[in-house]
Amino acid sequence: MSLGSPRLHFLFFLLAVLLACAPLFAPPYWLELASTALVAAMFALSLQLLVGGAGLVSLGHAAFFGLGAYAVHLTTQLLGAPPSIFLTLPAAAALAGVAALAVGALALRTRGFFFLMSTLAFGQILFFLFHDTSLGGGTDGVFIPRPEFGVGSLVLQVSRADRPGMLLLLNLGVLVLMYAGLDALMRTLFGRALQGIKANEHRMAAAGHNVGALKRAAFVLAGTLAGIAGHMAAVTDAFVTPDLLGWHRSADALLMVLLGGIGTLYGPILGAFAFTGLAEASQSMTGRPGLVEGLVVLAVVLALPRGLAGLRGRAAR
Amino acid sequence: MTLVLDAERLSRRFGDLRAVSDVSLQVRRGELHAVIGPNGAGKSTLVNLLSGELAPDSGRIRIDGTDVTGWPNWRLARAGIGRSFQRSNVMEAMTVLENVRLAAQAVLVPRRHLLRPAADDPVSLHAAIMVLLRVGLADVAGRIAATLSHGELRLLEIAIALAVQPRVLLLDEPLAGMGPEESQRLARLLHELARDHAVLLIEQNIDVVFAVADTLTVMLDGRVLERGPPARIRNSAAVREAYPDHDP
Repeated sequence: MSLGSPRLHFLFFLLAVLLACAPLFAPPYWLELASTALVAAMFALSLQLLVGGAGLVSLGHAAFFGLGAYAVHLTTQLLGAPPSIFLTLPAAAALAGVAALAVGALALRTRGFFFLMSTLAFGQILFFLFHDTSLGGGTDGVFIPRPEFGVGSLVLQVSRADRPGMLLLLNLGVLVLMYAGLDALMRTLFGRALQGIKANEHRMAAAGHNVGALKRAAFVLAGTLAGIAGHMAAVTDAFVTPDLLGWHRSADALLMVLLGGIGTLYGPILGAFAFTGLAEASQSMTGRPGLVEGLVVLAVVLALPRGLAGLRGRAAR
Repeated sequence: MTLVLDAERLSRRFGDLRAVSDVSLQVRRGELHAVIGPNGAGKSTLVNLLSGELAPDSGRIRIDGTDVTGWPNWRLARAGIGRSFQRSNVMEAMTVLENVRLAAQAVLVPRRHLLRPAADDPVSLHAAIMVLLRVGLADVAGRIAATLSHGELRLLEIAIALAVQPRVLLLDEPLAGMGPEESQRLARLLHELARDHAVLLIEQNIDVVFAVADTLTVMLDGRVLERGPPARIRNSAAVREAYPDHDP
């Protein structure tokens, strides 16, 4: 996985600043769409730590995303009042992280296709924990009050008109932090070891790396980050549904990673924006979003084996 | 010379096949111990037992007196066993330097340092460069492993094994597919490596084996057929039978 150069990161910085200015001029519809894309980008980025980072393809990643979202609902139920985001966010990260620790300990005993299938199975187990049960608030999901942004009596009051803009800023901030953190992580000795495992797991073990422990650490971290993404989804939509944990979501995230390219850390962010835009456009134009999405992803994968991020290399050549 | 690798009555079967039965073997520091024998004699299984790729059904393995029987491959690497593979088994998408540096990282970098930036890690980098200089791959350190020639790839195999700072080097047919000139150079390297390692060499190239080995073990059907210094083994009836083409 190649990491972004300082020049590219400067470009990303400018784009982030531009997006942060959007609430000044863009209508709420676009701000909400941007928030959806930002949350999708967080989720795809967390999956990229597994896929592009360590060569682990999971079909159960949405379970941790959904757990993060439900952590908001469960904390609210427990406290009886809208809790602080500084409580719900750590709760979501912890719940998803602990679940990933348990799932990873078992699923990582398998490799390749069997790993894919066991993550799918574990994901569906967690899905059915919330589907049609009192824990999940029913099959159709449940509306939740948004957590408050503040501690104690110091709470940021946001008017209904300002809300889409504030949510966009919040999501953008979380995504930037997540990307910066993962970029730094992949440059550490741990990150290099994960890349080695992706390249040749067997040789890494023969050379003395505790491959199992390294993969488990990556799995827990990716699950935790997916939980944070799910938390932001719940805060953004003020609504959680069991579908957030379903394998369909995991497949969407894999498509975003594939669309953006597995060779870079920023690819999934491009993929998430493209995928979200595509879904919205095809929904409003044809009413058959799945069909259009499928065709476009197929075309991109065939035409651009390195995904949207690979376009840059092409232009340079 | 100190005893480093001590394997005692190792056995391993696959179904009805006794791949290795009752094989004992000792290698000292400064000694090059070669194992020869026809295909299917159990040489590779023996290396896989000693490197922890396979667990023995019975028998004991000791390194420097410590019982390491049944340890997984990564723990054995840390305990001092470095191995090369018969079929090149490297991180193909990475540079030569990173291949070797990662192996050095596994044994030299403590777990609490894993979150340090890799670019600032002088320990694994220094160790990797020393190894590349020693095997003669420093010129191609920046190349992607997949672009190496066959001979260079064989050297990279040995470099990765050396980077784990081993006490014992297990080399599984390092000369496979090499030309005569490359083989000569590699033979010199093996001879040199045996000075500060215990080396166990599996090799089909009989001429090189007789030139560099201090001790020879001949295997057949998973058993030890003969053992001794090259001069004696060279003229034994068993070797003449196993290698009819070889002219001593």
